[in-house]
Amino acid sequence: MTKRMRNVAISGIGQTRHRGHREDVNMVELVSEAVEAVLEDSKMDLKDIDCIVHGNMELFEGVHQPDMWHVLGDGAYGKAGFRITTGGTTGATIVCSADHLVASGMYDSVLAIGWEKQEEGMTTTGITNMADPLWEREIQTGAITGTHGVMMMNKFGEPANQAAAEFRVLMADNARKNYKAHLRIEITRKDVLASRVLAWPLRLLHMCPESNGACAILFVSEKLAKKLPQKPVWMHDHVTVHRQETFDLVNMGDLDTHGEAARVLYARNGILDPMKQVGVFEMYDPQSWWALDWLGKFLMLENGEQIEMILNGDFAIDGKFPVNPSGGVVSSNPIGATAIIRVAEAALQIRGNAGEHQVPKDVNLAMSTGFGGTFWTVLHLLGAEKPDK
Amino acid sequence: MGTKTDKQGREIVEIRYEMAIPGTFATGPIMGHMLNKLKDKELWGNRCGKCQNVLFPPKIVCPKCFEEPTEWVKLDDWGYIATFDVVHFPTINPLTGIMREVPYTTLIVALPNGGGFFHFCLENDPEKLAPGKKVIPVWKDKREGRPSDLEGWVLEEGQ
Repeated sequence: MTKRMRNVAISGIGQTRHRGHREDVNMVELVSEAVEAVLEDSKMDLKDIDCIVHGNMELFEGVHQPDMWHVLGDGAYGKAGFRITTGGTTGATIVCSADHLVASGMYDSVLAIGWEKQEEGMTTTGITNMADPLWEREIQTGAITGTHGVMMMNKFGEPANQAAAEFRVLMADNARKNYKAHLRIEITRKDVLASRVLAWPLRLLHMCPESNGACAILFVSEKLAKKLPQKPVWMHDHVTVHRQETFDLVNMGDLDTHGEAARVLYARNGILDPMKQVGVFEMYDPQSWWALDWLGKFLMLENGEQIEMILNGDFAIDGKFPVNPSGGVVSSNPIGATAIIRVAEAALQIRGNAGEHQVPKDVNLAMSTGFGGTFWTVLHLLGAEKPDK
Repeated sequence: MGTKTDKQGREIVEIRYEMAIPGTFATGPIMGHMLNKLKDKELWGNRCGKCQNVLFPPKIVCPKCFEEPTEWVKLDDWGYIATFDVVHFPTINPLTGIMREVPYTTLIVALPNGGGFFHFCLENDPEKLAPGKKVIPVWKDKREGRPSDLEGWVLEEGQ
């Protein structure tokens, strides 16, 4: 594990029900739903929270400094506060930040809030503004890309096509058990493969939706965690890897930021066999083709073994290695909240009170990831036991 | 201002607006040199003196070695497909505000002497495209020093 000044626990989790339409509330009110939920879950009084870390995507809603506007919804009035915006990984990065702020001894309680109201802007236009305006911006299609599908098809052929579709079906099956998920649809592999092409071989049902939602997690010191009613979930480690201007486009399929994050995390935490030692994995899967590739990268499967594993049902809630019991990102994607939802869901699985999508076993360790432009990855490791135990 | 009702018949008030942000981007001398050369139907990259890789679009430092590139290199007018996207989902070109017509294809062109870059491919049939196939550029008649001076890339005959 990494060097820490002191242990940090998750002692509260709050989420909205993620939806395609939330015209009944404005952004401030949406955020406040998650904050009220986390206060209810943790039994903390807002006045006892020291600091708020707030984040969402830049440009999506076209609001500059939304953290200022949201003060009355997120409870930041009079408190220390930070705004963090690292693209798709925002939710994961605010977790890293909140963890550091408590571990350092600076604050005893930090509330991390990720949110997005995608219906109030133009997502793809926001994303394409990420690209270099002098060359790539004219070309970039945003997150809708089939390049990895092309590469997986090229390497593994039709079984890859079947496995990507089957993984999407599994996510839908899981999402139907999670009442907070946005898309709780009943689909078959045939439906996925018959849905319209967005960017070949990426189809509509492979792709994540545009959702509205917010998620808040309370991070506290060990001393405070002992006073709060929820079973604490301990922060063990996190690794961030990205290659902004330095990525090699020709080898795009093998950028391996995910693999690099996994290798560092496993080495630091004595993980030799992730699928045996880790109980559940909440992976940021913006589309099922990426999920298919990335399962291999994170789990160190070098020969496409994940294809067979998906078709065997090994990643199901009651399978050998449950992945995304929540239904994943293809089922709910309020982007600035998406990566913090992964951490929240991993923590719920350790607490054992995830609800209908709880995995049927004790979870000692759980992993979650965030993903963003230029293959930015953040990998978190959470545990039921304190990391120094 | 528009009004809608929710499922319970309650009125929802929305304010609609469009945001336009005019922008001007400075190219700097390195990107500026390359963009200017597009007018002459030439692709120019720069080479890192340490790893010898050619960078295109050219960069102020080599992203691998963090050394300043030492020379300009005129690129061959062909490359390989590294990967591609046949896009059927229309998105707005953020530089123009105009919705793109679909389908269109983007690709990563891998250069024979190293490096790769995004551009458009003029073939929209994924069955005809594959990583490793050779592509050549098609230039526009009127060129103004921007990436769209290149219409796109087509498969070399016989590919």
